[in-house]
Amino acid sequence: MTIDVQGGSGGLAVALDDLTAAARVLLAEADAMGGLALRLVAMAPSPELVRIALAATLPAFGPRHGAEVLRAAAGAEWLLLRAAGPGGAAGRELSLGSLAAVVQASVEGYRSAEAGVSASMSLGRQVVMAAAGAAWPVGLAAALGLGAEAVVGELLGTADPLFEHPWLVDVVSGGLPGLAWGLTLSDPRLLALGAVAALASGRPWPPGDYGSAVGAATGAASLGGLLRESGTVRVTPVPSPAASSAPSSAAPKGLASLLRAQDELSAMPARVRVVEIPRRDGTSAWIVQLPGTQEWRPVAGANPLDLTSDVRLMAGRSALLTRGAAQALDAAMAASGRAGAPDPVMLTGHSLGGIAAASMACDAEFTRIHRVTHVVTAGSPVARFPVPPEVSVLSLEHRQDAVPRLDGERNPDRASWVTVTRDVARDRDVSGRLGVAHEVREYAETAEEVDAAVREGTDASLSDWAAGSREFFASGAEGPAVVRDYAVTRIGEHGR
Amino acid sequence: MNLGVNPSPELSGRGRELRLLGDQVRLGARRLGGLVDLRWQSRAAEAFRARVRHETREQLNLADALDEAAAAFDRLAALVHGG
Repeated sequence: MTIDVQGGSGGLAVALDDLTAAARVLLAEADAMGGLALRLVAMAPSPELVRIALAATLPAFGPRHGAEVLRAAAGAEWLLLRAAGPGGAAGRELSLGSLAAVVQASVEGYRSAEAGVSASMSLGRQVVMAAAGAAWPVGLAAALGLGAEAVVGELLGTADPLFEHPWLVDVVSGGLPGLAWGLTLSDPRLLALGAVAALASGRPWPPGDYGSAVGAATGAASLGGLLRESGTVRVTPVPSPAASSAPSSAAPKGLASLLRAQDELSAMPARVRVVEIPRRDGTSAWIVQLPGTQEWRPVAGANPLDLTSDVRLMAGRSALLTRGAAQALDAAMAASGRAGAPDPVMLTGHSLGGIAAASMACDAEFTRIHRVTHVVTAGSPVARFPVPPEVSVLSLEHRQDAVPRLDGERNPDRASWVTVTRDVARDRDVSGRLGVAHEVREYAETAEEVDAAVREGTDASLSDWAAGSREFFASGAEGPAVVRDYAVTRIGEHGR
Repeated sequence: MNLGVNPSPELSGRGRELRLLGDQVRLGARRLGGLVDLRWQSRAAEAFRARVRHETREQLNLADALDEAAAAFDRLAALVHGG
């Protein structure tokens, strides 16, 4: 079992930034050498030296001493010119300048090539999905007859096409705007429906980007009473099994124990967990844990861990789930006497929980009150969330898990965003099943790999992430942690 | 023994000036040396580090050459001034 690490302090983006900075240093030194060469050359034809040379030939010097002075003058002049010339400052200017140019050209070449590949892939996805959208009646008939996955499986000659070819999800999700275009081309009624839905969701039509496409789909669904959310949210403290079982060891020992706690949380309906970790200075660090989707019906019910929250948050809209999680954190901090304190907060979640965590980290209203320093996601499509660069993000993804691919985009490669990918194709527990590849238990195993890499210091990005997040784990805690669980319930139109 | 030719402040100060220039080049070499601290791990990164180390050595050689020229001018000034 091995993991692949992208981004972070040892990632490519940082390397390219480092190289750009290096090119600047090299160029500055090259300029300095050019200036030095000119200065040395200007020093060489000294009238003083000419005067000394002439005087050295006079009898007053004596022939031996005169010759010695002449040799010393010539030697000094030669050394000066040598330091200025091609073997000296002038040569250094050329060498450093050419290295600076090569480094800068390499960085720019890589960046433009990557942008070009990304643009052409994006265009390709839009074209493919526009064609699929235009031919939707044929696809619908086949899907109804055979089952959607069976149709794709038939085309690709495999029983579990999404597990075997996870890139299919990238094509579909990345090409959502194209799909919307294609659908409107095929049927003017869909064009009208889309326009109304876009109007309802406040998004442009036809959609030009992923958020608009998901927003339009949500808008269309809401016209039929689906994926709609109204009312408010109620947050109630409930006994936590984690607190009663092992209160003294409640602070996670590492990423794996954080993910195992996530698994425990997922087994309880509509729960959000807040873990308080005491710090040496008397303040606390806080972990907010959000589970994945528990209700798959497209109608919002009392449990906000549902499809409605999934779609709303992916469309960049607000959701009662995140409001509830924020209230849970407020309640926990108030219970600890630290209401409104600028304590560091880590937001973690599996699947929908990770989406909600990333969404909260981007929410200006939430971050104005709470100092979000870390986000940890497992199996969540979070690449499109504009998480501020000062927030450290760690994303765990499985290559065969379709869910983190639902945004059709790779996570940003930047100093503060580390993405760990594990190939679970040969994992005995997964045994080729798409659903298992997404399970939080499997992600706990991936987290064990991360912990091992941190212990062994085999990856700079992970080592730096662990060093920066120490205060959230047992190794950085000053005393036992306090675990508080909260039931989060939608009330109002959909409530009980 | 006075040779009747007194070196001007220009000649006397030349050694000092060259040493100062040498020190500046050494500072530059230190800046270049810092470039090997890239976190990037790859063969290309290793090649870049090797090139930076080479450039740093060359800078230090130039600083030494300036010191050598400075010493030569000091020696000349001493010869002219006092034999």
